[in-house]
Amino acid sequence: MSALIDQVRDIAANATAPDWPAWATQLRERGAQAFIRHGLPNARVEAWKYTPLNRRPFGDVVVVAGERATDLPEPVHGLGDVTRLVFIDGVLAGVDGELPKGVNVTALAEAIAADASRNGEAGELAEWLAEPPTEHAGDALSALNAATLGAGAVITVEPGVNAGRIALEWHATATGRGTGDQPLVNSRLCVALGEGVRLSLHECFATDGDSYADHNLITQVRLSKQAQLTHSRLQTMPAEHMLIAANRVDQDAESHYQYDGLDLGAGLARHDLFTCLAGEGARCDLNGAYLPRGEAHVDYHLAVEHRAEHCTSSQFFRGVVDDHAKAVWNGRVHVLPGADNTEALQSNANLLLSRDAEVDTKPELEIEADEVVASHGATVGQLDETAIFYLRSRGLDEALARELLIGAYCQAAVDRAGDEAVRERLTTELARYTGVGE
Amino acid sequence: MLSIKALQASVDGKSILKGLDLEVGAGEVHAIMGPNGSGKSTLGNVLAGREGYEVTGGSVTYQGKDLLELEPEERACEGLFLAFQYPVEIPGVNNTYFLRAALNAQRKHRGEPELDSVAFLKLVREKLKVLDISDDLLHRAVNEGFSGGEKKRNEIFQMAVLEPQLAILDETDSGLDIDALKAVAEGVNRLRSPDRSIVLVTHYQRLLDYIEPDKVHVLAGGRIAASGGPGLAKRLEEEGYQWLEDGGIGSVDGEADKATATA
Repeated sequence: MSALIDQVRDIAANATAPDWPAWATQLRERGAQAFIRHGLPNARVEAWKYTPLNRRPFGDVVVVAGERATDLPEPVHGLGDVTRLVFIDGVLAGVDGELPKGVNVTALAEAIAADASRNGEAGELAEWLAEPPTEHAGDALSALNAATLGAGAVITVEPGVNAGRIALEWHATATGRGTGDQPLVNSRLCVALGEGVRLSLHECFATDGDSYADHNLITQVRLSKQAQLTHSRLQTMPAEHMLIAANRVDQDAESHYQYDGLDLGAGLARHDLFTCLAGEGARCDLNGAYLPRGEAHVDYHLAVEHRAEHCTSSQFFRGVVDDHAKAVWNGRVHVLPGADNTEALQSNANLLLSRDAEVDTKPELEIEADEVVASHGATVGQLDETAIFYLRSRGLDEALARELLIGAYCQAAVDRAGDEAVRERLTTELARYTGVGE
Repeated sequence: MLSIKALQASVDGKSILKGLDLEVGAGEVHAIMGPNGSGKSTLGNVLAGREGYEVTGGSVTYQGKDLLELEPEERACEGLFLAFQYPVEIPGVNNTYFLRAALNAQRKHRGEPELDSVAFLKLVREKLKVLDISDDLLHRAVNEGFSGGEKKRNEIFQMAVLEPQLAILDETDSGLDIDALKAVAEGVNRLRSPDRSIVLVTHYQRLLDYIEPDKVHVLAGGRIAASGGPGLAKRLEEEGYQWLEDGGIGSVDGEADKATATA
C-alpha cells in the first residue's frame, strides 16, 4: 500500500511528458495527489464498503512507453470475423482488421499529444478526461487511473454510420503468473458516437498463457441523438486477477445504451456503471450475470440518473454465489426534478449455494419528479430442490442437475444481450463454465 | 418386475405407508386407487427416491435389485419412470436439451452410445408424431407456462422418449378436461407393451375408462386394502371409498374380478 503511494508519488514527480499539453500533465498531477490523499478505499468508504481494497496486495503500476507491438496476439473474442482492437498492458497495440468508414480509433497518448498543437489550450478532450467517471467524485481508483493517464484509446464514429461489431481485447505481457504481485494496468477508453450511429462493442480478456495483470479501466461514452451502443463485457480472468472497471455513459435524446455483462472469473471484479439520461426519450438497459466461486468477489455498482423526460432504464442482474465467494450489487436510480414520465425497472436475483457464500444486494430509488413508473426487486434464494429431483428422476446426476439449473438461472440475463452473436458467445461461455456444454 | 413387501414409509415423522405389499409383473398395468391421504403419492415418490420420504421398513425389489439402495438418477437409468402429479416448471432449461441429456445419461448407463443432436431430433419427431403432440413443445423451456394438460402430455412424451421398463403415473388424470384425459390415456395405451409395466395411481375411476388395467388395488390407510380386476374400480366409483371403511371388503367378489381382501 505505502509502496503503491510511493510509486504514484514518483509518477506524479515525472508527470511531464515532453510533447504533452499542460492540461494533461495537470490531470496526472491532480490524480496522483488525490490518490495519495485518499489511498486505497477501505470499508469506511461507502461505495467500497463491501469491497475494501486496502487489504488486497497491489503490484507495481505499469507505466508503458506507448510503443505498438509488431505481432498481435491471437484473437480471444470468439466472434468470428470481426475487427478487433488489441490492448496490451492497457496500451492500444493495434487494430486487427479493417475499421468501417467513419470509425476512427486513436491511441489515447496520440490524441492527447494532438491536442497540444492547439497552443496548449484545454479542448474538448481535456474536459472529457476531467469528468468524474463514477457517481462519486474523488474515487481513489479513478484518481489512480488519472495519475497514470496515457494508455487507452479514443474511438469516434461519424454520424449516421452503422459501425457493426468491434471486439476489444485486453492482453498483458507480464510473466510469472501466480507469484502474487501482479502488475496493475491502468487504461482509459473514450467512445463518442455521432447522431444515429449503431455499434456493438464486445470487451473480453486474454485468459490463457502465462501473461497476467490486474486492470483498472475507465470507459467514457458519449451518445449523440439516436445513437445506439451495445456494450458487452465477458470477464473470464483467472482467479488471481483483479478487474476494476468504471463506465460513464452520457446519453443525448433517444439514444440507447445497453450493457451486457458476464462475470465468470477474477478474484475480484468491480464494475461501476454510471449512466446519465440527459436527453428526452433516452434509454439504457443494464444486464448482467455473475457466478463467483472459490474465493472470488464480484461487485456491481450501478447508478442511473434520469435527467430528462420520457426516459427509460432497466437493470436486470442474476447471480449465483458458491463456496466462499461474495457478490455485491448496488443498483441506484435517481430521477431528478422535471424528469417526468420516467420508467425505471430494477431486478437483482441471487442464488446462494453455500453456507459460506455471501450476497449484499441493495436497490436504491430516489425520485424527485412526478409521473414516474418504477419498480425494484432484490431476492436471495436457493436452488429449487423439487426441480433438482425432477431432473434426477429422468436420469441426470445431481451435479449436472444443479449446474443445469444454475446455468438456466443466469441464462435469463444472458438472453437479454442486445447483439445476437454476443448472446451466443456468452451462452457458450456460460455453458462451459457450468460444465453443461453445448 | 416390481415386488414391494411390507413397505413402511413416513414423511416428516408421520407414518404414511404401513406395510404395503404389491407385485407387478412384466407387461402388466396396475391401477392403484384410494381416497385422499391414503398414501398414493407417497408410494410414487418413495419408488422414485424423493428426498423427505423416509422408508422405515419393508423392501422394494425391482428387476432383482434393491430399489431403495439406488439414487433417483440410478433408478431412472435402470428404467424406472415417475410421471409427476405436478410436473415442475424449469425456466431457462430447454425441453429438447433436457430430454437429450436425460436419454444420453440413461444410454451411457446401459453402455450404449450417446445420440447426437441429429439422431435425437429424429427420434423425438417420431415420438411426437405417434403421440400427436405439436413440436413447438421442443423449443420451450421445461413445462414453463404449460397448461395443466400440456404438462401431463409432456410427461407422457418424456416417457415415450425414455422408454422405461416401469412407469409410475402419479395422478396423471388430475386436473385434466375430458379431451386432455383422452389424449393422455391414448398416449399411455400406445406405450403398453409386453416388456413395460405401468402403475397408474389415481383417485378417480374415469381414467380407467380409457386405460384398462390388468389389476386394480385399493390403497387405504397406508396398505393395499383390496385387489381385484377392472370391476373393482367400477364398484369404487359407484359406492365411493366409504364402503371399504364400512367393512364392505368381503363383498367385493364379483366373479370376473376375483377380488380378495389383502388387508
